[in-house]
Amino acid sequence: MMIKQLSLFLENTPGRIQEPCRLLAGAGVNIRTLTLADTQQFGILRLIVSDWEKGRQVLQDAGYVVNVTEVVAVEVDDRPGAPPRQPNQYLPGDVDRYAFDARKGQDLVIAVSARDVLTLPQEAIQTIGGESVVFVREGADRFVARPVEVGDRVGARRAVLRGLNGSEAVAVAGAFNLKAELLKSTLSGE
Amino acid sequence: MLIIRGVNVFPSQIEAALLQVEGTLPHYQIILTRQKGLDALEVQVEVTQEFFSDEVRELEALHDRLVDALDHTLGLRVTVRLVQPRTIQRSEGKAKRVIDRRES
Repeated sequence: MMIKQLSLFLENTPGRIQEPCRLLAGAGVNIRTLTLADTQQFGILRLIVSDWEKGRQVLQDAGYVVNVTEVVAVEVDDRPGAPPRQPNQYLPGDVDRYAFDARKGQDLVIAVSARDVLTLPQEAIQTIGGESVVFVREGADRFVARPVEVGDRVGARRAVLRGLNGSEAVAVAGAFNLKAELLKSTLSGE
Repeated sequence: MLIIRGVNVFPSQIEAALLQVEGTLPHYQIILTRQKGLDALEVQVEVTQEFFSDEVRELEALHDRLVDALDHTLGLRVTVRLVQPRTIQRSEGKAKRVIDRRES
């Protein structure tokens, strides 16, 4: 499940966090959870609120720069090593950048990873010489094999951890044929 | 014109450097102070929506690009401080860009 997260820029001086909280409270927007990333000079306050559109509006009207990013929400039980509640949900092994937790009901926690997990249908990922590759479109009918690092299964799809940035067009249904063509041409070349 | 540690600095040079990095001219302010007998120049730059990223890393990169651009155009290492939007005072008419806190 994707949810919206608000991030805002704050200077790193005492009392800076007060005003946004007060503004949100005034507008009746509830903060579900927050995290703060800071450096010596400034910080980024990341918020998950009950009504992100209203929250953004209130903060922007007050002069804050607000970014909206989508984050992945995963429900897990509140105990060590608990797997995601939904079996096909993907909890990245490296919730690398940051994680939130928010209570929902008694002891259920939503872990949120801000890393957009890129997934591809299983058939788009082919293996050549033990290496996982996808076929990226470069030109009208030219596809080039590109090595990728794959992660866990996400339902019928598979997470791609490295090698793609998400903007590429990738062959899905024809990927196997492309692999066959590629192997054929390398064979005949030898 | 300002003279910082013996180097002549024109505010327009600072403007050019900011423009070069951000593409548009952000609200900025130049603060001059004297620390241990040395002039210090701090450029405060408001973070705009276009340049605000959710990533600390990217903001730090923006900060470093600004420092480098200023270093390059002025030949002087200056401090850059990213500040919240609308925190730099808007003046009516001619903008007051330079605040000199050096006692002379």
